[in-house]
Amino acid sequence: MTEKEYNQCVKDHSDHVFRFIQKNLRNTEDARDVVQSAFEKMWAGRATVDAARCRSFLFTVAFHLMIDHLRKIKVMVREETVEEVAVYDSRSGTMKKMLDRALARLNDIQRSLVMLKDYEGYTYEEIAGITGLNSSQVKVYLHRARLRLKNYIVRAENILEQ
Amino acid sequence: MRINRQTYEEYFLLYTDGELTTEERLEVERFAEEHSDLKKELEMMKLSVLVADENVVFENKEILYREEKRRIIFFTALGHAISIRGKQIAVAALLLIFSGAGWWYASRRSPVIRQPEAAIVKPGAQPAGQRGNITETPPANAHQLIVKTALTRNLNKKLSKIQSRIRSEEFKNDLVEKQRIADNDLLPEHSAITPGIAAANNTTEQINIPVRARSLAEPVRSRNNNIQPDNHNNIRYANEITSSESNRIYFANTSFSKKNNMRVVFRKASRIFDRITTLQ
Repeated sequence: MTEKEYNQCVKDHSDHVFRFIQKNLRNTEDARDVVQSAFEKMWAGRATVDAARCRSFLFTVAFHLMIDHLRKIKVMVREETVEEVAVYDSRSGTMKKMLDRALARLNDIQRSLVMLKDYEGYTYEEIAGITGLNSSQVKVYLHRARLRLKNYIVRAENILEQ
Repeated sequence: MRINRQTYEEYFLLYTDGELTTEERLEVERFAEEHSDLKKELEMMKLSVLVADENVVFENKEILYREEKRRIIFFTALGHAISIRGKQIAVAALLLIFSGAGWWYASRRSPVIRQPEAAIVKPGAQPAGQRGNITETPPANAHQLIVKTALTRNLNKKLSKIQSRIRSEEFKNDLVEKQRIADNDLLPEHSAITPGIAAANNTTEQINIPVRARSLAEPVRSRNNNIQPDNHNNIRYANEITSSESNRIYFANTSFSKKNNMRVVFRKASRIFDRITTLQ
């Protein structure tokens, strides 16, 4: 990867990877740090990074940095609280806000998988490459996450109808 | 593809994730149309797809952009590669400019008068055996010739010429005339008195010039404590000379040296620069 290709990668993908990280961490400054570290790693290893795969490389590095960061700050969301909060959240906000809240209550891996799929349009195989999981795991985890999101929306709809 | 009431959920999920082919997608849509109770479930699943917020961007991307440090590789005369960064090139260029300016300035300066080969010769008798000889250590009673010079290798030749000239009749007459001028205090004050040699004697036939080769660092020695050479150079002035020494004769040595320390440094620097640029 040349200097020009690296800078083009910054231009094309920095916003995408920042969105992905920021949504997961829910903290802009932490997300900026993670993204910056990811780009620094890419710059340091530019001799071995293929420019055509810089996006995958970037998301892979950023994902693992983000997981490390989450483990450090221990902000894992307890899944068992999702149902209770869903009722509370359903009384206000639009569908987008509802989805954001539902997303925030997924575990880190599920949330990352959903975002890699929906935000970036990666296939199961590509997500597997980024996260280090295999394709079957990605499919299973992603389907579980999707059903959780759907159920959250359904319950919220039902409450609103009442 | 076999979608039915037992398998529809997986197909709906694959449909939502965009993992189905066009034909498979059409079949799922057809199945949903046929089963209205499941159609709403498919719609809710579609609603669970997240949409990226384009307003969320990484601000100040400038901190992410990078620029490679430019390097120029030089090869030294020994074959060593020297890699120089852009800033170092600028510094090297500045040094070269200053060096060039210094060399130019030094070359324009008038040549510095070299330290005199000061000589004071007292008239008197000399041992006959030492006439014309150049000895390492001047004898205690011999007439003194004190010489300070950096050009010791040429000293013997110069002295031979001087000795032959001193012996000539014309020079003897000239010395007598100069001594007469000195006796009358006609020597101008603060004029540079220098080098070479001096000799005076009522009978100029008997002149011995014992000379000892000296290094530049060795101080000039004088047998007379009243006559001390200048600390910075070897120039002596007429007003410093006591009346008892008034019978001495001084005359100038006009040999100059164009060499100085700065000139040597600049020449070496320019040689190294020439070597590097030639190899490039």
